[in-house]
Amino acid sequence: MSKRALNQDALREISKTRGRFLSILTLVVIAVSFLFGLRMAAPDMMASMDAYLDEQNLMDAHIMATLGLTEEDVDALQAADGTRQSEGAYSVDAIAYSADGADSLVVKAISLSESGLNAPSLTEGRLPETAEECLVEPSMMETLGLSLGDTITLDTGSGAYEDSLAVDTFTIVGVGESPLYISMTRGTSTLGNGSVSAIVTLHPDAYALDYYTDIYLTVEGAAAVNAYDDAYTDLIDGYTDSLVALRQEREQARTDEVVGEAQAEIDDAWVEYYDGEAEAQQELDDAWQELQDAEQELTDGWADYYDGAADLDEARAQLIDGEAELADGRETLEESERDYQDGLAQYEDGYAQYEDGLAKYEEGAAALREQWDTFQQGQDAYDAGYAQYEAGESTYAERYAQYEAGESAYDEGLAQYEAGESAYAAGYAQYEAGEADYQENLAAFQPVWEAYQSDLAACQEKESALQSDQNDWEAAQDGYERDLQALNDRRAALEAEGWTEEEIAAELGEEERRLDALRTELEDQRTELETRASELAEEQAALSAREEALSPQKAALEEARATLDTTQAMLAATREQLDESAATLAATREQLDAAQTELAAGRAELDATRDLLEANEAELASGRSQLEAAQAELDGSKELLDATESQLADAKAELEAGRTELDDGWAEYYDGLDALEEARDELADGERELDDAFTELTDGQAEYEDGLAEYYDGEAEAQQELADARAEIEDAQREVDEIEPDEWYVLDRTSNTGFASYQQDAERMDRLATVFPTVFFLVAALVCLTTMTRMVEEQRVQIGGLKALGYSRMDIARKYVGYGLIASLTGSVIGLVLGGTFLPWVIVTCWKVMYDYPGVVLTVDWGMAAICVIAAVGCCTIAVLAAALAALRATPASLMRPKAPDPGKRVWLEHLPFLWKRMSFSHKVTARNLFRYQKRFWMTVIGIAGCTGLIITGFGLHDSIMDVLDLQFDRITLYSAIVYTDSGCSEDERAALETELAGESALDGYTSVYLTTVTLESPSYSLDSNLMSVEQPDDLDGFLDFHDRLTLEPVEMQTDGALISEKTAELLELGVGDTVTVVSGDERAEIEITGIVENYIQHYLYMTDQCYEAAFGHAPEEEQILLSYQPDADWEGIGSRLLQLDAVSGVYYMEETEEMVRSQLNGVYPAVVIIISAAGALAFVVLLNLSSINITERLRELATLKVLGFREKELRDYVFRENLVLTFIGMALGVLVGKWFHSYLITTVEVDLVMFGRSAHLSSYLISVAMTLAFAFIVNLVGGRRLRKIDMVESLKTVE
Amino acid sequence: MSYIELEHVSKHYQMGEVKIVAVADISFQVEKGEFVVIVGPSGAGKTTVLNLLGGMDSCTGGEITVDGRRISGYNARQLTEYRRHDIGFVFQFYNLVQNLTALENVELAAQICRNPLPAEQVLEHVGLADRKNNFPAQLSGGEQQRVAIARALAKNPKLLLCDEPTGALDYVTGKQILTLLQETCRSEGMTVLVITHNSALTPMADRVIRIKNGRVASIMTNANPTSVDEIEW
Repeated sequence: MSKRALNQDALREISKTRGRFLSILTLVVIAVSFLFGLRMAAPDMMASMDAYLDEQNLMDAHIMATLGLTEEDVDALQAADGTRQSEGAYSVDAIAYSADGADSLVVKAISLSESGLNAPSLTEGRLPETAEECLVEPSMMETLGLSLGDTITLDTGSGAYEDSLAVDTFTIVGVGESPLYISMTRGTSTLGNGSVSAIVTLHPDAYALDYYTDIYLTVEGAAAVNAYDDAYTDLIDGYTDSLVALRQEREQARTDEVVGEAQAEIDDAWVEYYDGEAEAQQELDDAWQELQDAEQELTDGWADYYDGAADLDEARAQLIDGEAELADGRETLEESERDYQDGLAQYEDGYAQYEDGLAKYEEGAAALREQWDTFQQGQDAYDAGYAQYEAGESTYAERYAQYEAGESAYDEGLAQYEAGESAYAAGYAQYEAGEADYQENLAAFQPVWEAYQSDLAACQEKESALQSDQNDWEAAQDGYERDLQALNDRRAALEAEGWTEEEIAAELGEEERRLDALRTELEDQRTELETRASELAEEQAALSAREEALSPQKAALEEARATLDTTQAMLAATREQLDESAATLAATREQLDAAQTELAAGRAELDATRDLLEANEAELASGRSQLEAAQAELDGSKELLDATESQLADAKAELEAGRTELDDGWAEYYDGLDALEEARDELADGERELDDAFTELTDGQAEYEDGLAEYYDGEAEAQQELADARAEIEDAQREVDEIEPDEWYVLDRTSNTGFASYQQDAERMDRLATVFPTVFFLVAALVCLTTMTRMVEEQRVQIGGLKALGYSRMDIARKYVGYGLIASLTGSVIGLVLGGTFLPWVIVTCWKVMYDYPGVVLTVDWGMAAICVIAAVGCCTIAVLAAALAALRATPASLMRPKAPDPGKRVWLEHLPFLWKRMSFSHKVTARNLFRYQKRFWMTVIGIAGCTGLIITGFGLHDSIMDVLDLQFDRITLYSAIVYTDSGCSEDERAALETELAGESALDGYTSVYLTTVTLESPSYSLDSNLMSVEQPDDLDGFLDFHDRLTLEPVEMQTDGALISEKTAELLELGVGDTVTVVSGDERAEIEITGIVENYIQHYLYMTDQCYEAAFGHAPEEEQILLSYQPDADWEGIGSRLLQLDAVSGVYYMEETEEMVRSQLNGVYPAVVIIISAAGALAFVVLLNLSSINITERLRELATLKVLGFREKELRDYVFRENLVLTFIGMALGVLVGKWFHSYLITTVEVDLVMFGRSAHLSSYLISVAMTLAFAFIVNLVGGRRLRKIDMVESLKTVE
Repeated sequence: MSYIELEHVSKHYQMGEVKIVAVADISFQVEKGEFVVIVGPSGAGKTTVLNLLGGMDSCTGGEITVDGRRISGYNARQLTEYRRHDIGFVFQFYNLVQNLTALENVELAAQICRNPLPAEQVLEHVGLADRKNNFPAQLSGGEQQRVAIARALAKNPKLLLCDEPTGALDYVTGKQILTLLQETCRSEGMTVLVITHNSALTPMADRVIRIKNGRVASIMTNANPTSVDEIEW
């Protein structure tokens, strides 16, 4: 069953709606190429790099060792499982000087592999073939201004690399890059400014090392896999793990070897040392013996001499003693003579004194006796007063006892009175209660009583009434009886008259009847009276009962009354009694108080008396003691006088004896004086003899001492020599002991900075490719979806027709699905091809600016491709299928009727009359339409917002990256050049530099700094940074501007901490107040961060020398000078003049740095162009599509307006005003989206070393908005043409 | 010279290689103020004639003169001006702008021409004063058609062209619409052309033009047109 007609229809549909087909196709192409292209960028980057590294045969693993590596190590590794190739290599740091010595930079000299491992990629010339040849990097050729055939000199300095090169001058035979250093960074060095600038490749023969510094390894099978794949990582990890055993073995072997060699050398040295020591000792011993003999001889001589001298001395001493003795004797005699005279005078004085004392004693004794009498009188007076006082005291005590008794009697009375009072109060309260009770009872009883009384009175009244009625009745009864008597009397009289019965009856009948009546009446009355009587009796009985009941109450009440009255009388009496006793008490009180006052007065008087007495007593006591003392004194003087008397007697006897003795002494003294003169002559002879012997001995002694000094000198010399030798050997031993066991570092490619950072960059690219194109894709898909849905809706009628003809739903759906499928599939394939080739090519090429690799390798990730295609095709076809199936579910008849137009609606704006009324008619229509077609509203707004956002992002990316330069070099780094001075230069050379700088008119200023490369560490990160230290915080004014990025507030440098660049702080996750660990070589220091400053390129830590010294313990050597030129200075001229000075080792121009960075950053342009053009294309297609849908949907309405005579312009306005409004809303949203997108993108693509500008320029926003507006304008132009072409007749054709 | 003159008007459509003759050769005159009914079977070319006359299409041959002006030679821009100021159109399916109320639909037409009639007044004239703020979807077919007529009248056109105005309406409503058109013609002195395939309507016209196969079959004038009320069909 062929359905050719239907297929034909489907194909015709495509050619008929070329525009729509193409727009869907384009959207799909853009979306797929963008998504796929960006997704493939990272894999392609990695593949390109991998291809290059494989080509250059880059090592897979790299071994370094603390004690160096040997040929045995290389062989052992070669023999290890999995090793393809193992080769030893050398790496040495040096400072390279150009032939004229003017320029220099720090280089790493690596050895060329003879087997092509890590082969440099040659760009010019050939590889080095002899020890005197080298290969350098292109950048170094440029920096040092070299060309092929020039020579360079390498200086390895005086540190770790000293003497490691056998040759120092090399001829450049080739230019090329090493695959070991693919990124811009070359690592750090201990030489020069600390940063390696270039790589120089030398022939292995050029090295003078006896060990390898590195071993490079390649691994079996590693070249076959992509080095950035997990498979590679697994392979290499497995390999390096397998080296553990080998590594330990070789480490031990190397340690043993190095230590063993050193130890043998030391042992030899010891043997030599001990030989030398023994020899020297022998020589010394001989000399010593000789000296000993000489000394003995001398000693003997001296002994003789000293004996003689001693004898002489003794004689002389005896003589002197004799002389002295005589002199002493004379002196003693004279002294005794004087003493005797003094004693005599003293005795006489004493005797006179004694006589005086005796007279005085007698006088004192008389006076004392008189005083004693006076004292006795006073004592008597005191005793009398005291007796009087005692009497007064006893009287007082008596009266006080009386008063106390009165007081207690009063208290008792008071207590009684108070008890009476409280008893009275209780009685009175009881009485009051009784009274109240009585009154209450009385009140209750009174009405009852009164009621009873009144009832009694009423009853008595009734009784008397009854009495009178009874009396009346008895009177009537009497009358009746009388009358009856009278009648009976008459009857009897008439009978006695002989009247017949009848006659009697006639005569008396009336009377008889009257009486009968009367009797009856009386009967009645009596009955009544009896009744009343019985009633009354009853009543009386009741009353008497009541009386009986009431009478006890009454009696009780009366009794109570009587009791109460008695109580009251009693209480009154009590009251009176109490008042009386109160009065009595008061009187007693008064009396007592008076007595008390009196007593107090008596007391006071007594106390005064007692005090007085006590004073008298004290006085008496002191008088007594005084007297007694005087008595004692007197007695003492009496005793003294007696003693003196006897003493005087003794003295007199003694004086007489002394006189006799003195006279004997004088005679003896004159005899001694004669004997002494004789001995003096004898002594003078002996002395002359001794002087001769002394001269002889002194000469011998001097001779001996010279010999001894000679001996000691020789000995010290020998010992010094020996000690030096020992110390040297011991130092060597210590060094050997301190040799740490050899340690291997087995590194793979991830430890290679270039390799790893390239991977990070690729991954960053991949992240960028995740979000960005996805949004892009979504916008495109949204529009495709709308367009396809619209297409199905437009074809309702035809669908109805086909359905009516009997085509199955699937057949009909196939047409539309086919349409979508062809469009999206074709678009996808074109997109895959375009996106998969062009985009990765551009991006990989861009990255080549940062990394050295020659070619671009494109790969295809089929899975990703499939996802892109499925997503694109899915969006289109599923949308169309859903729409078609929805339409197909309706009946043919309803399909063939025109779809009821959406009813018009009022919009919320109409509820704001003040606004709505102001709007012109056409604006109202626009407003209604906007709200009416909500789907289109959102579609357009989202589409335009997305596109504007993407364009802004594109421009913003460019701004952010280019800002880096302007901000860094116009706002922050204000200095123009750095001069590196030679650390070894002399004072004079340095002074010459100062003079040159001071005399340079084109300079604005210069300042010395210390600039080096350090590693900064924080708990979360570690990175290489520049460290700049200056003497004073304000030294950098005019050279660097420290400020905050957002506020532009200046940040001051403190002396106790460092300033850090913003990005650095961000990466280290440190803030102001935190400390950063600074690692410089093997020194580590903690430095506090006192400020964060704006900075874009590289990392910086700024501090003062003071802070540096505090942290590192030594001051930095300021070896660099920052220069700041005047604006239009001939900077190269200044530089070359400076370079001629010996003190200058190099000059770096910021202008050159700026140019270099600029050229690198320019690599971003293609990416920006890609993003902008893709976004622009998307924006254009989206707008075109939506505008087209807008027109198609409202064809009939527009045709009607045309018929009504709307001019072209009016019609355009009518339609496009809506588009314009939507565009503006979309743009406004787009600005927000763009802002967000841009900041996301910037932080995603940023590299560690550079901080990009964080905001897009206003101009970028304006350009983006202008571009969107331009697109809208173009789209409106195209739409205008369509409007003009609307065929009124066709559009309004009655639907048949 | 008559108010409207068509002389040997023809209209061909070129569809690819096929030439379709919609109108072969039509000539007729209409006087000012006449109520004209054009009848003919489907496909006879009635609508094409009306479109040509209304400036929605231009003829391939012949001449059309309206009020002394030769519109058959007008370019697109002139035709727009002609439609704008001189023609009022009423369609079978009303073609109201759904998003505008009855009043706004009328204003839509009124605001673009030179001497419009006040929109409210016209709506009142067609008996829709109280529905003026309703949207088309809220109105019945007859009411929508009356809005369409009001929209045409508000422009104060020289010519009111109605293409099957009752085609989509029921009998009673259709009659009301026709009455409205006839009354407008009489009271305003407006020239009204009505297309119908219903021959029963011919008695109400001043002039009846029958068209068959793109040619005029007959032209008949009615001295005493009957009122719509008296016509049954």
